[in-house]
Amino acid sequence: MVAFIARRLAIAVPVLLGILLIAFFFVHLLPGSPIQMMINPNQLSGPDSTKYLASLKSELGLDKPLPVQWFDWMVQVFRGNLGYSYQENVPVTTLISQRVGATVTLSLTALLLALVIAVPVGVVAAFKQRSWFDYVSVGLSMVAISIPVFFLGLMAIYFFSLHLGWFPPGGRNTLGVEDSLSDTISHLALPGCVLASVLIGPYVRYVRQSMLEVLHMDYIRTAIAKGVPRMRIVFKHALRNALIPLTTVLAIQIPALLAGTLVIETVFAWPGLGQMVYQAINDRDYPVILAVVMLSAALVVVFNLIADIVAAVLDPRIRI
Amino acid sequence: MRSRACLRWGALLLAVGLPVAACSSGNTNASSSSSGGHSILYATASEEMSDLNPFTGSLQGKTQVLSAIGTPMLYVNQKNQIASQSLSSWKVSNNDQTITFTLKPGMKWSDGQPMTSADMKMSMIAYLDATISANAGRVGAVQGQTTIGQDTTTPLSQLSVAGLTTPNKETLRIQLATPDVAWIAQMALNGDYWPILPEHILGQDTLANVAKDKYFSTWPVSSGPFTLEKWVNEQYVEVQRNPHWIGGKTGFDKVVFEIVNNDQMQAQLQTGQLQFVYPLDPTQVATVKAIKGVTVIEHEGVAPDTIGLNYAAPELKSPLVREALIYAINREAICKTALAGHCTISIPNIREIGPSWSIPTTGLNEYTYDPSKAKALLKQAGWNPNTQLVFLTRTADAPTYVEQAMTILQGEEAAVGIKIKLENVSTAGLLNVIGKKTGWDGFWVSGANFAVDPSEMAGYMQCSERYPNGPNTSQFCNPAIDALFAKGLTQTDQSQRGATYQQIFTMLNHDPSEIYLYNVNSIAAYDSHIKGPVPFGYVSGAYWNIGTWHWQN
Repeated sequence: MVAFIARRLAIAVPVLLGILLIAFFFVHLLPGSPIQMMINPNQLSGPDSTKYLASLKSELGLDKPLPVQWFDWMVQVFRGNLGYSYQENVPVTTLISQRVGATVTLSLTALLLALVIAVPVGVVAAFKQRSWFDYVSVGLSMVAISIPVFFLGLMAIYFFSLHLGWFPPGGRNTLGVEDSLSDTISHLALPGCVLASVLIGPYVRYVRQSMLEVLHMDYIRTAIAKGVPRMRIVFKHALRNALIPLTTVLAIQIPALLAGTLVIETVFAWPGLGQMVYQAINDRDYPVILAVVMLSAALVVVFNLIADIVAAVLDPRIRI
Repeated sequence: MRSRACLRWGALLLAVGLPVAACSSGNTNASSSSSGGHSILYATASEEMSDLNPFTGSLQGKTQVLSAIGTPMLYVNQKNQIASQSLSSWKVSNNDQTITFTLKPGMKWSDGQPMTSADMKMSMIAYLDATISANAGRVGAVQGQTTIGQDTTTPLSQLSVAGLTTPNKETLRIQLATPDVAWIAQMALNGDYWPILPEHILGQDTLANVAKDKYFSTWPVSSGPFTLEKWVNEQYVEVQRNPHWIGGKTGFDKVVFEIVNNDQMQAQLQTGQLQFVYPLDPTQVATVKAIKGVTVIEHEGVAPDTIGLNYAAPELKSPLVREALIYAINREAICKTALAGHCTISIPNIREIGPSWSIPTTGLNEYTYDPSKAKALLKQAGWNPNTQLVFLTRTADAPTYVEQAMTILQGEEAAVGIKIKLENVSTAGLLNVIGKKTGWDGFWVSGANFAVDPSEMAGYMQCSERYPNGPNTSQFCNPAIDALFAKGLTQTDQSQRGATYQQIFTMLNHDPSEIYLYNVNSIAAYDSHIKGPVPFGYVSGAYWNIGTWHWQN
């Protein structure tokens, strides 16, 4: 196990470096520059403005050749310095730290909610295949997959916030006052449930399909023939194997969630990483974009590793 | 058995917990329910503020927050008049070459220190240094201004500039290099970006480092009705009452400026999560007016939406073609359809919303919608109907009505034989394309206040201000107009000055470099319990009197 982890981490380093190299050059190929985004052209005036723009470019190191900029940036990254945001003029780590909590809270809440609902529903749907429960749950999961998340979000705001007045329509907490758990939960309820509903649909189908395959296997048939109680068959013998594909899906999905869910964040004014990176792309804020790319790539590597380990734990036949 | 029990408890917790959380603090602001009165005002910033640094290029969100925490020497009020919250007087003398600013007695910083002319002088020196200050070129030259920036080692408090003197602790005397009638107006328009800075905090900085001082991240000392309490980048700014504000006790203890999109703005206004929203999209006005307990105020906007034409494009060389472009557009219909009528139109296609003494009333092309005339002009110009013009739009960054307006425009131009391709670009991409001078023929742009002084137009028209040297993104150049703009700055007699600018606008009317689509009305909506907001025509002016706002039950 240790050797496996060490091998995977060793491979991860060149993979990450390659991703960052490609990202760095592609980001710099985008039309427009951060300098143009920092200065309102209405405020430029006279030849002095050219001098001002030039001094700004030099200060940010953008007048150097691209390979030199790349090298300088990598040196800083290895020192743990992700640079300063061109637009916000604060360390990139500060910007990320301001937002990562919101993203993690929303993503984990939605994920847990989705798993708590989707796994039992998928299991029961598989167990009671072709029953009304099976048909209803498959149907609802298709609906959840089909409805655009922004529409679901707007409908949720309309009904639960504007019409019923149960939850606030947006934001992470009430500003200007001390944070409270109930306030946070009330703000989290709508975006968390909407995001969870988007995840539930596919998870129900994965779990149901996987469970059906396992339930038709010979060893399950043998267990039934031996008189093992059905619940024990499902939860002790079948579920473990049925969850393996789901762990693979989660390994891919969690990094994507943690990198930010732009649509949910926009609809609910949730201050997460998705909004931040979208704005950074618009502003050509290279350090912020590259930091988030690095974070996402690292998360993918780590969570894929975790998925492999979890799969090996769940299924001893898998050797790592 | 155990797993069944866990499932039951989990479901129970969810079923109970969510509604409890909803009921406990859901929609009303804690400030109103807990304190018994509304001590915190929740307002919007019209867009994000990338920084609160007055030296860098400004976005409107920043100017709005600066107006709440800072005090400029001069600013433009809601009536487009020059006003001040810091000066008791400002006098122009010596043939518009000497300006004297006198501070109000009792002006103090939030730490209790008195504001003096040394603060004003230091602020002016820093703001006029073009190497660190983005807006330095927007006011006329002060005597000795060219030497600013040469000395980057002497502390600001010890720097001297020939044209900036302080005869006493209340007075700053400014000597201009040449007479400039519009200097006061330009200074006031810069008031959005130039709050007076504290010399006792920043005086030891030099010109090399003042713009990077950490002061501008936290504003620990300021002079406006509020002081900066907390700023979370791209999310919100929290300000709290300044106990030493010249205007006395503010109506609210705190103000939180939030950055939210239009849909959230409306929803949060309806639930009470926000109490003042600005700017309201014109298409939302009818819905918002229907919300109980909400007041909507509207004012004629001073900032026009225009299509800047590429004066350097060969296909637009003939003024007849550019006139045809304007005649072909039914701007009233665009105003009615895309903006629900919440706009005004400049029929003669000039900056009509401005000092009336500078606007000509005769000898103008009246660009009323006339597709027949447009076709005749195109025929006269020998227009090739296969020519395709490229107009750049920024629908991702622009308000929602812009896309509809541009689509209508495209259809109307096609009806007279002008093919327009709409290219959607980001703001960064737009500036990139404009910098190339070819490959585009027009672009949508919005902003700027031309209602205070007609000289404000000069930056967008003069040959020397062609982008990237200045904001003349249309690359317009007419030396005769340049000469008239220069003349207008030296004429002290308003009737003579008026004649000069009327001549300029008449020339621009016949040789258009822009299509003035409409001026969007400036619309705000707020909880009816709030007293104090006044209608205003310019985005940055939303919060100039926020210190006097209060909640009335």
